[in-house]
Amino acid sequence: MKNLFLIFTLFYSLHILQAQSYNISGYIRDNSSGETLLGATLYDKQSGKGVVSNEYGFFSIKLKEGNHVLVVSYLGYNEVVQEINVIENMKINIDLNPNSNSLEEVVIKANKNTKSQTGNVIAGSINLKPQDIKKIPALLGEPDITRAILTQPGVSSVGEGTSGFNVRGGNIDQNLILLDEAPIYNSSHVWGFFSIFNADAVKDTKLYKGGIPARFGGRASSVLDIRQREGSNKKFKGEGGLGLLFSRLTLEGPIKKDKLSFLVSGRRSYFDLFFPLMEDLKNNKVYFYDLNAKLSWDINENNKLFASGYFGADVMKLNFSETGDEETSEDGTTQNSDETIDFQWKNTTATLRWNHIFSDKLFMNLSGIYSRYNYALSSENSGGGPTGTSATNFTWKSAVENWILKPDFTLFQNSDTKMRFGINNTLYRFVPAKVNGNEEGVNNIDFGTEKGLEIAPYFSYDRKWDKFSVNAGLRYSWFANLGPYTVSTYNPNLPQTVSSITGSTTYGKNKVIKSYGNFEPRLALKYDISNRKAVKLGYNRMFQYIHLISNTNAALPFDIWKPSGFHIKPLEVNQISTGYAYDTKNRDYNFSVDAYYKTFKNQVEYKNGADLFLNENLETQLLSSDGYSYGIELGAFKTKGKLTGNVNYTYSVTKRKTTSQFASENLNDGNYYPSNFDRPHIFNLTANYKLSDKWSVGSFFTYQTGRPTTYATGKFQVDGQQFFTYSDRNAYRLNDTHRMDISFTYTPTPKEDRKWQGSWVFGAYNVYGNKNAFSVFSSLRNNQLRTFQYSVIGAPIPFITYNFKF
Amino acid sequence: MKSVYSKIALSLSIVNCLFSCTEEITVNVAHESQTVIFGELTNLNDEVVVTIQQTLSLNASESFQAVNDALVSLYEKTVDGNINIITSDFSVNQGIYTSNQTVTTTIGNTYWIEVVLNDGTLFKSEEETMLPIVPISEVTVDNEFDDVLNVSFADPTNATNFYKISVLLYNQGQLVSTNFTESNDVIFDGNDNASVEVDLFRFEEENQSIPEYDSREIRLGNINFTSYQFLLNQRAQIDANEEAGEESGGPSQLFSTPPVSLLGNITNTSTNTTALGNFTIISISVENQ
Repeated sequence: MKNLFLIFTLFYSLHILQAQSYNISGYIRDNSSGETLLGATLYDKQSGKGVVSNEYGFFSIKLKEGNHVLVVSYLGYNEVVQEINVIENMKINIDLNPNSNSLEEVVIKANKNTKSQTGNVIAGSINLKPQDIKKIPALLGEPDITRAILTQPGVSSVGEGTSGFNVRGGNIDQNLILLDEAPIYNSSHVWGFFSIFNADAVKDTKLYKGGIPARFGGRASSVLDIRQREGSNKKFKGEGGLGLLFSRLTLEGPIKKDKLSFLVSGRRSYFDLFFPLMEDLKNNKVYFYDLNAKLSWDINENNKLFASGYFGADVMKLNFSETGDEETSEDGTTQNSDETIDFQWKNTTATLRWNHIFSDKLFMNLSGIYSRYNYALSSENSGGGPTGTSATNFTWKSAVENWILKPDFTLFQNSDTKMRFGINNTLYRFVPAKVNGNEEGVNNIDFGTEKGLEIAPYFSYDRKWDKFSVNAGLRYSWFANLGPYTVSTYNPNLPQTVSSITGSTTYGKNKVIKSYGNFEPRLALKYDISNRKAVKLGYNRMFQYIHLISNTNAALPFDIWKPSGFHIKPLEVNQISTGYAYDTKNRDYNFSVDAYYKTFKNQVEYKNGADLFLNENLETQLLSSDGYSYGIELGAFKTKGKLTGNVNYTYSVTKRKTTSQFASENLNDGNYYPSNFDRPHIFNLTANYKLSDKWSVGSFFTYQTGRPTTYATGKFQVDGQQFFTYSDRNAYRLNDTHRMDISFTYTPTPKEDRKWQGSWVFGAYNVYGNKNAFSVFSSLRNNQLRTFQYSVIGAPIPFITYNFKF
Repeated sequence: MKSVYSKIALSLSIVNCLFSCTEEITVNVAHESQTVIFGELTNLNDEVVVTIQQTLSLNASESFQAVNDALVSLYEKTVDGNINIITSDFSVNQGIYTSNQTVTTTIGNTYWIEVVLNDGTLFKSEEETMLPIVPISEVTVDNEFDDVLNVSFADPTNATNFYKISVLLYNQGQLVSTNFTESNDVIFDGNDNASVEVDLFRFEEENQSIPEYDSREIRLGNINFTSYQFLLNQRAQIDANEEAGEESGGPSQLFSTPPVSLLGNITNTSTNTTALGNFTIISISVENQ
């Protein structure tokens, strides 16, 4: 910290020595709504220097005294050219008008207006706007951020219908998913089919998969930074969509014009309305809902306050009626025994942010954040009687919670130099299981609460010279696993099993059970070969102190999170990456090539046949593994003209090996094997074509190597029953997969005197009904082998949605 | 309670059934023959039975390939560390090795077997302890389902226990069916009235009826952790095999765990790798009905 202070002082002194220059600072906003625009470009024609607004829409540029022409641009907005006479430090807010037709792009003055990667120092970052996401044909017509992320290079998943995504060889728990800075622990609805993010409420989405700035930490492979819209402070507006299975509505407007605005956005599925039509499902309910809300208060020119929140839940009410199993009650009537299961999982976040401008050069964001993911499972079994004494019930609860406080400062030293520093403080609370029931002979279970504290100061330095740019950062993360908790101790000469427990140690409240401290250097370098060509180099070290414990093909909503502690070490990931970006003349086309090599240390792996169910000694089921991943990603974008879209190809390899000191525990005899999501070849093509003023068509095609799998290789018999013996873990591969989705959008010409604008979107997901293999499994009955291939989506899924704005 | 968990996992994929697709395919995989050893030593003064076989390729018409030329030895280590060979006198019939004498065991002593194949390969099971007997206090028929038994017992305090609960059905003295379940004591640790449900019969096919029987024997076995883990894997294969037997079993694949071979507590000492099979040391209490 002492060194950081010295550096800070040095740069501040240099600034004082400079004369005749003044700071111009302010916000870049949407003129129609007052919404701040992040990533907008401000460019001074005279000096040729430019800056980009930060994630809060704030910019600061140093200009010499005199007249200047500022050009401000942002994708989807008309460019603004503004003349200013600089005679002192000035605060100006610049308002941009949205394009009437976002396909007609303005002349590009700076890189940020396209998908160009030449201006971005950090290699391997992807920016997606809501309009990008909405153009991609979506499952059941519901624009989906996670599915949009999966169209990008370097991102894969185990398969259709699975929760989360894998970035450059990382597990799904290695992605830090932030919604208005609040971490999200389960980003899926319906077990992975839909993401929890309502595209109407989202302003911007950025995925960092290569260079990860020092202000981010806590997850080892990527950051998905999603920002919610603030709501118009100019006029009341609304938008929404009506689909066959979902509907959504967003309302926004000023509470006090130009000062205080609100945004409320809700979404609800109703596919369970069709369940009564199906015999197997008629007594069940399965639905989800979301609610996003935000209040933005522009207190004065130096202060803004934001309060935002998200609440979303999946609800399952299942009824297992055991017809035929009847019991006679005392009055002589018979009753079917029924079992009802009520299962809900919920995400809740709340963010309070304060933006404060200390000076023209020093900007602060202070965030206080609460995030909670919890599930509750309750079951009631009538036992066959109407009010029979045989009725049993139990409830089961589990949760993970975060309280976060993070002050973040940005010092705009000059147009070419920026420093960012702050400290992230996170208090974790994990409740693995609390079970209460009235079943005789069954204990109530409480595995207690595990706590963790993560404190991470960071500093980053951005500097741009004529051709050379650097983004260097250092983060120090300290994590402590805190009591009260009881930790088992094991015989070090034996594998960790319940049989090798030698005792236990109990730690008191807030006592440190185990702590870890690690430096996480980050470095990104860029050299501009010309204004349309750049090469990049980056290095990251990341530590992760919490782990998703899941041993199933697709993560389950009731998987639990476990902190690093006495028996589980933090995951360490090191990544070096390099990139080359190239834009054609006029930047009609943007190309990029990125390559990376990544190592993983202390990944959580599972013993063969791991029993994770209500296991208080989870460490007995886990193995530590090391791994590596490397790959090359080629991408091309076209953002202008009638035909827009992108095409990308990724070649990657992801392998791991378990590292137990006891050879008998290791999977595949301790040799490397491919991760479940290792898909060496992935090709994606997204294309949108504007057929006319009213009609446009969108399509997406993907081709991917089949994922690794484990096959039965032999058989034997025990007590007359057949069993399989299996190949090494993931020794085989499923067939390659491919899919095409298509959508058509019809937008009637809006009537001038009507505020209401509507459009119809219809199309099909998996348009040619390809049966992509999710898994292959075998059974032996009466010595008869049968092998099946399972496809999660094996048919075209048509959709139609009516979208509207008013 | 675990069954509720399983029901949830299965139900999670109900909606997906609308669009999913399962079809029968052919897969060709290489097979490398391996030795499989199964056995059990109880406190019931019985003969010891060990089955030794080789795995077969999936498309083989036979279902069992016996190994008839192995040498089997049973060892004991007393609590004060003395090692004795109990017997190496076994008769073999179609890969089933049966000791020619009954074996008397002692609670607290450890036991293991060694198997030598005719090529000299030595297999050795883990030294497992004969644990204390946990007496069955009551066996009742479940109120709700008449093909489910509730086996009650007092779970010992201050110990982590693992159980194998077996149901053997007899008709006129002939064994007509066996079924088992396994449980740890997490949800009833130290409970005087602990209870585990076990199905009377394992239904392999829909509409299958319970075989006729005139007596049943319920066994509560106290086993070591490694053998319990082995039973879990065996159970996982049985369940997966039953689900996979039907085309409708596809959606459960979404939330299935990686398949595992039945590797237990036996080591191939020549290669220092874990072998297929298990030799279980189990102390049993019996209730005859």
